[in-house]
Amino acid sequence: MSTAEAVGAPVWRRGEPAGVCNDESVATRILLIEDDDRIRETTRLVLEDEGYQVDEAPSAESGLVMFGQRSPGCVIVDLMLPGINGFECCRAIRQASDVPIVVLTARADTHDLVAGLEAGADDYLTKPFHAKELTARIRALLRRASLGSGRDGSSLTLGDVEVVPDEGVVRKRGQEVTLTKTEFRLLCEMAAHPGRVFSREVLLENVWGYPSVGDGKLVDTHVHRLRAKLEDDPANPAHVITVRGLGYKVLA
Amino acid sequence: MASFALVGLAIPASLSVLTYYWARTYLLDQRQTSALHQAEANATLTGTLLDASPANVTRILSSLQTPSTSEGALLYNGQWFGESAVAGPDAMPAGLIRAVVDGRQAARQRYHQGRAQELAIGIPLRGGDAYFQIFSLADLTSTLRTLRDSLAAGSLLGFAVSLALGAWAARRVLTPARDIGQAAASIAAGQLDARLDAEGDRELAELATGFNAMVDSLQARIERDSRFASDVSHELRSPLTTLSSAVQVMQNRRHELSARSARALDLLGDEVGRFERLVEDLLEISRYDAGVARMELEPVDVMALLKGLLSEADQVAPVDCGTDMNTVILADRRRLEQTVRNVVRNAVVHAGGVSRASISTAGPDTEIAIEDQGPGIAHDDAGMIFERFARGKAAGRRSSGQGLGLGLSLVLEHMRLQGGSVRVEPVHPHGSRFVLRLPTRRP
Repeated sequence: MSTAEAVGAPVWRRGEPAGVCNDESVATRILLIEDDDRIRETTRLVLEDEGYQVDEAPSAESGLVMFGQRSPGCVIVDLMLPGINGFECCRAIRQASDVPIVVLTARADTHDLVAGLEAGADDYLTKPFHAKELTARIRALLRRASLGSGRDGSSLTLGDVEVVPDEGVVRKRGQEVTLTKTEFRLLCEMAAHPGRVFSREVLLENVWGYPSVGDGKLVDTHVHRLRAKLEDDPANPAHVITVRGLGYKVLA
Repeated sequence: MASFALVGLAIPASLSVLTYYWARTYLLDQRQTSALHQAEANATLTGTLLDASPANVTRILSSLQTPSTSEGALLYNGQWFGESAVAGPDAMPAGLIRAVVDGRQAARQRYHQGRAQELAIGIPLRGGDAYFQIFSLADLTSTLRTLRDSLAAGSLLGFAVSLALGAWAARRVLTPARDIGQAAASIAAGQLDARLDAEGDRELAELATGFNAMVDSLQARIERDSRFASDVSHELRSPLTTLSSAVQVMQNRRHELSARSARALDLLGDEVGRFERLVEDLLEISRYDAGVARMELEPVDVMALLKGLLSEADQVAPVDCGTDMNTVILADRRRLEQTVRNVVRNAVVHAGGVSRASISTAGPDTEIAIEDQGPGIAHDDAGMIFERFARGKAAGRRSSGQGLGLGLSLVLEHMRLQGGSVRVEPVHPHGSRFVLRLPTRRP
């Protein structure tokens, strides 16, 4: 294990699964990074009621240290942290691991939220949130993480990108590309039917498990992240195409 | 400006006219007086010479000193003699000749001979004789004409200059006044960043600077006020999150509570929920008050949206879309969702649920109608229910003191922002239909 080079660098090596459990009965560790004491405490109570084991951190700095030490299966980060702010924290964690991340935000239409999603969060909740919503999202995320792609079949080819659902692996020109579980799931969903247009609602339902009414922002930022990782020129994508007014599709 | 122009014309014009007539009178008098002196002198001399040698009339006449612009004529013993062929009774008015010859008195007359003006003076001599001298006034006439023309030109020039001066001065004063008026009007209309140009004339610059300072402080005050509701709501988010989670934890242990505690917990949970919605709505509506609400259009399948929200509220009412095949329009999805959700919730909470819903995207306007069969809305309340924190008679009776909150006010603002509207109609035999209208913009 490499040692931390600076405060905030997670002491953790890329590629090792972050406490993902295939067996849901074993308590998953959740890391909760939230500076408001009372929110942190009540949220911990709710999560523990759901059977999770919760590690708390009151700041991004302590959160990153704890991330390295405890290897949680899911991380909840408040974007409005003092010091190193939430989305920096999110980005640091994402650079080290593909653990599912949920961010907490004040409003659904701030730059912070989009920045947080771009930095690698899988999902978000606006404050004030209902504990039930939080637990539902975490459940969906963890299910996604544990099932891998949730699809069998041989590899799918999209130009110079190869998707192998069973192995949970994506290669571009032979080189393996690291995707978060959510990104992978999104890609597989569309790659199973190249050329077919998927609307945001359908993607939200199939990939994130939301009912038909939802926020397209999640889909948009994840597509953006996929392009950043897979496309030679993300501004002019050749693999994941936007179909104006309708949604997205992938080209074989 | 018009009156300034009139004055600008009147003064030089009247001055010119006065000057002209005064000059003319003076010059004429001068000329007439000197002509008279000359004529008298010549008459006396002629009389004396005639007495001395009566036979040399023509020589006597030609020896008289007359300037080149005048000619003498003599009536001697009933015969006319003149310096030249034209100087005779035909060159003078008959009335003058009569006055001098018959009336035996000196007389003068100005008259036109052809195109020229002339002055003739007649002086009676001894016996029935008379001496006349005809002066040409051509030079005087031409002098006066020149004077008249220059005075006219001068006053026209004066008029033009005063017109220009007036226009310039007016613009200097009126333009800033008009600018202030325009700035004030746009500020009153809500554009708080209108300011004046504090350049130019020192006094006007002071006025502009003072005005700008006043608007600055007004704007700061208005922005502070509109931010307050938003700031308060932000502050409430964190405690509300804690409250909500704490209630959830207790709900998880409801079975451990006595019936009374459980009931209290239910009430607590409901109110916390209501509190959350209120804070959300407050934040939303304060964005409109601060003028920072911006429409974000994206393709929305309104049919799917309505069906989704109805099923979210456990409503089984059928959705009628007529023969519309394409129910995708450009709309602000977040706001439209909130709008429909609020109207549906209104029907559920106050009217027993949604009985029917319909969508129409044909035509220039899209209409979404949500009907209920509740007590309906009293005619007097119809306009008022969209006001903030409205309390209608129906609302009060139904929900034990609960007002309508901000839900319908937000519906109104959301629709208005997208260029649409909302109205409520009664349904027979009882109930209400809320109709949301927005322009059909196709992607």
